[in-house]
Amino acid sequence: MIALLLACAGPSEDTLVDELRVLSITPEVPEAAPGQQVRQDTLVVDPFEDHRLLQWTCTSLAPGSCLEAESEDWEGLSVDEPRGSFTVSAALASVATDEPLPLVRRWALACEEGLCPVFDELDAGLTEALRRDLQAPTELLRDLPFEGVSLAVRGMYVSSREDPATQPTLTCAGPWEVEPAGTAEFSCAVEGRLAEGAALWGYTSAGGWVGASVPLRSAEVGYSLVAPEEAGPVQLWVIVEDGASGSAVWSGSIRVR
Amino acid sequence: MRALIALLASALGAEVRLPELVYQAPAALPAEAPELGEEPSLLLRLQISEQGEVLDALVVEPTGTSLDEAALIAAFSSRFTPAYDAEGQPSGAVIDYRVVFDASAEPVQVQGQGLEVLVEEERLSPEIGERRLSAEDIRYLPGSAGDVVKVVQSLPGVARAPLGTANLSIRGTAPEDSATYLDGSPIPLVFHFAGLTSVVPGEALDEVAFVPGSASVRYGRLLGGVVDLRTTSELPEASNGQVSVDLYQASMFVEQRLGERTAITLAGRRSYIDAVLSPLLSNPDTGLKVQAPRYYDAQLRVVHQGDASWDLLVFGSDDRFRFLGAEEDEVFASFADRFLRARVRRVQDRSGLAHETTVSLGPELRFFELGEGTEAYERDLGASLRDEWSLAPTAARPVGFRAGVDVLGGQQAFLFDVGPTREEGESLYFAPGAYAEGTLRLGRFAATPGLRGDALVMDNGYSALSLDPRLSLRWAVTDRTVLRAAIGRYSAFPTLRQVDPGADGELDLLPERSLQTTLGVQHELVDGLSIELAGYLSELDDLVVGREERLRFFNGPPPVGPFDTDPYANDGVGRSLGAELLVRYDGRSSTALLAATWSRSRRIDRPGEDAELFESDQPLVLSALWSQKLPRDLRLGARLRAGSGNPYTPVVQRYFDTDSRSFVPVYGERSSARLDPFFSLDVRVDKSWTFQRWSLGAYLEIQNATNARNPELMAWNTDYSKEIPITSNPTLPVFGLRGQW
Repeated sequence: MIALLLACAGPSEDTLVDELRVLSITPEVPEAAPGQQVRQDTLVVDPFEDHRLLQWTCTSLAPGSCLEAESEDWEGLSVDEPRGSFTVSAALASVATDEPLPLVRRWALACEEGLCPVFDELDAGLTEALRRDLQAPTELLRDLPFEGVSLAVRGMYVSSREDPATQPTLTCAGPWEVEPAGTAEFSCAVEGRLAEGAALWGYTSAGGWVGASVPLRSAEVGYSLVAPEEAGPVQLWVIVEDGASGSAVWSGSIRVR
Repeated sequence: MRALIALLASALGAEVRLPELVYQAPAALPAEAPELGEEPSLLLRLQISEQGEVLDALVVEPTGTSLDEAALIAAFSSRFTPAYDAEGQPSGAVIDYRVVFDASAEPVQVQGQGLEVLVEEERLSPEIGERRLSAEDIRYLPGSAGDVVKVVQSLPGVARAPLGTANLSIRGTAPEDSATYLDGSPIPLVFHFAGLTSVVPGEALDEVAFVPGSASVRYGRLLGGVVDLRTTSELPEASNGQVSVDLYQASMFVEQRLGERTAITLAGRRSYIDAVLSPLLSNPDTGLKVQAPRYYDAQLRVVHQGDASWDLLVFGSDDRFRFLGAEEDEVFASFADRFLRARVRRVQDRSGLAHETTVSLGPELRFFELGEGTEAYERDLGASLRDEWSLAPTAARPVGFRAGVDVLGGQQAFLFDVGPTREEGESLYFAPGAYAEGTLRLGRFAATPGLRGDALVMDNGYSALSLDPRLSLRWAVTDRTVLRAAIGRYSAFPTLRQVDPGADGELDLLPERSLQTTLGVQHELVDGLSIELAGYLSELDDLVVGREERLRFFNGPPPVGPFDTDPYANDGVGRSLGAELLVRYDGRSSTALLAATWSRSRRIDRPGEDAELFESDQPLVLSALWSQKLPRDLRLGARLRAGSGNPYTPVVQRYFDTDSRSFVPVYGERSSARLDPFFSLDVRVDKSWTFQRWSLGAYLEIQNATNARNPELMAWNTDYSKEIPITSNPTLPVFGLRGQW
């Protein structure tokens, strides 16, 4: 605990993304109505650009089961489509109220080519075994290696209210270049409602952000990046979580001289 | 405790032998023989030791002449054979001894005809597996930093607690399954923060009794073992005191006689390790302030010896650990554990029939806060009453008994406010218990059947009963070999949180139970060297499972692994078995203790599930302690500990929760991996200087002298791709001074 509390200065290792990783799943709205079609964007960081991506939706009214499993084609299931859409189950109309309910989860599994058998199994169709695994996604992972595999999930709320929550927007600005091992100051502005717990989360392909996250006490905050010692381009991603299920992604880059 | 039992010589039978005169010292007769009657004689009463020496003498029937004093002086120089008890053991004795004089006043006949004999005899302890440690014997053993209670952690049957914490996991059970007592009264904790030292100073203790299992009916509401800290009810021979300082703390202890029958004791301790650590851990740049860890304890005791012994003890303990932020009221983390007790004990012993009454009252609090939104506490304002009658069997009186009531009552409250879970409860409780056991002693064999009943009633609607029959057997095969066996049922009630309807508890939960079996043999190889071997099997059932949380307060480190979040139920079963070896050597100049435990402890949480290792399962634990007196008041000691690492649940994969932006581990089979083995060596040197009115002692103890980096808990990096074992303390020198008068 002591170490945890004291380790709060310098670039955070947690912000370095140097292997295959699903970094964000961003639906166009954080809260949808039953039957609403939702576009969605998934950010996958892959240094080797050699991966496959499986995405699916699980609408749960009971733990461990998905409404989508009952249909012949799994609604919202897609392969190798980071940008796509899915439809929130119309069956939720009977339960949706003005109170947003966390009923929908959007899953994304990225695997290095040839590493995950599920992609080959899908070619043969949706078997019962696959349906079971998609309802308990961690089972898909059990026999897979740590490296080259990334599974991520995003929750979504369902309601029938007239003014559902919307996604925030995020813009960040900073220098184009930085000295090796130098610090670059970025300024990020968020538009939208910010709830308690709202924060920015930084990621980079080299070097590191100072602090894995920065709390959002106002709509504009500064965020520092410590550059790597090696020269070259560095990819940057900053993600805002507004504390009320909304999120947005900013992507950019900086060159180390 | 030893009792003086009066026995008529004629009733002792052939096995009991009286002291016989070996050498009569000549009396220094007066120059002129005094005038004597027709049958001149005098009667002396002699107290004779186990070695046949005359310890004390008084004239019972004098001649009324100067011969009385001469005979008395001569008696002190005479030698006898020792008395032998019914088991053939040498024993102390008191005999009446008649000296007959002839006309010239020469003692012509000395005899012990028709003597009344008082044989001092050890009572049979009803605790079949009890290991008693005299405070004096273990004060200098290394690894304890002078704390006698810590030696319990090195005894067989005790799993090594992670990170040196105070938890005593005994015979494969959880720390909360065992109980800690002070003179038979329950106390909430035995060690200060992280097990640094015990909450009752060793100077106040007469002995530490450790019962790893198969406890007698005196102890209830438990599934594991018992640690009973025992103070003496005897008055100190003279006023005395002690002041000590070491790396962690300073303490004082003063015992003062107030007249012939009363003594008062005042003791206290204050740690100052926080003063050392706080500047090191605090960070002025971030405003982080650390108050860690600090603890106090204090005791006030008044003992009065009259027809009965009265003992008033007020004692308390306060531990605290805090991380503070820059703001006045910003608390990152805070931990507190404190209690206060007032206890009155009355002990009366009449020819072996003992009556002991203890009443105890006081509050206790455990508190934990982690930033905003995480808070938990357990509070108890309780009272206890124990009223017990006992009569130990002896060779002359083969039947003994013990019977008593053991009642708890008060008010409990708890709060568990962690993340989305907020549970709060409060309830009055009343837990009456009663027990009785009888002992039948037939020569070298003794059997003790007993029965204990407990009830728990809470005003939240919960009630439960338990009835626990127990039987222990003891057979002294030879003078040096004793076989012991015991079987018994043990019960422990669920916690308030588990049964509180307001916290989704279950009112129909039953007491958890265990059936404990112990078989052991103790053999004294030579004087001072004994070996003890015991095997045990404990079958646990009706264990309460469910509602597991990532943060499990007050009962050890946070658990890892998949959690059973279903409602509470008595679905758990378990089995714990093992073998324990204890070799003790108490010589004139050295003390040694070798303890080895082999054990397995498994649990099945829900019907149909596979058995898994218990979280404190340590198949092999070894401890060796040695202390050697050297010339010039030096003493050298060492403690070596080695053993298996604890099991842990490995992480086999993880996924990323983009809402919380954190990784969620996917665990493998529960407790299917094990930490690396443990090894630690502590060494200690003591030196003392004796002055006219006081003595000074100094010690240096090097804990973990080889700087072994023992893995204690498993942790992971934030994406769970790397295991990062949390290791034990590095080498730590502890220097202490102690002044005694």
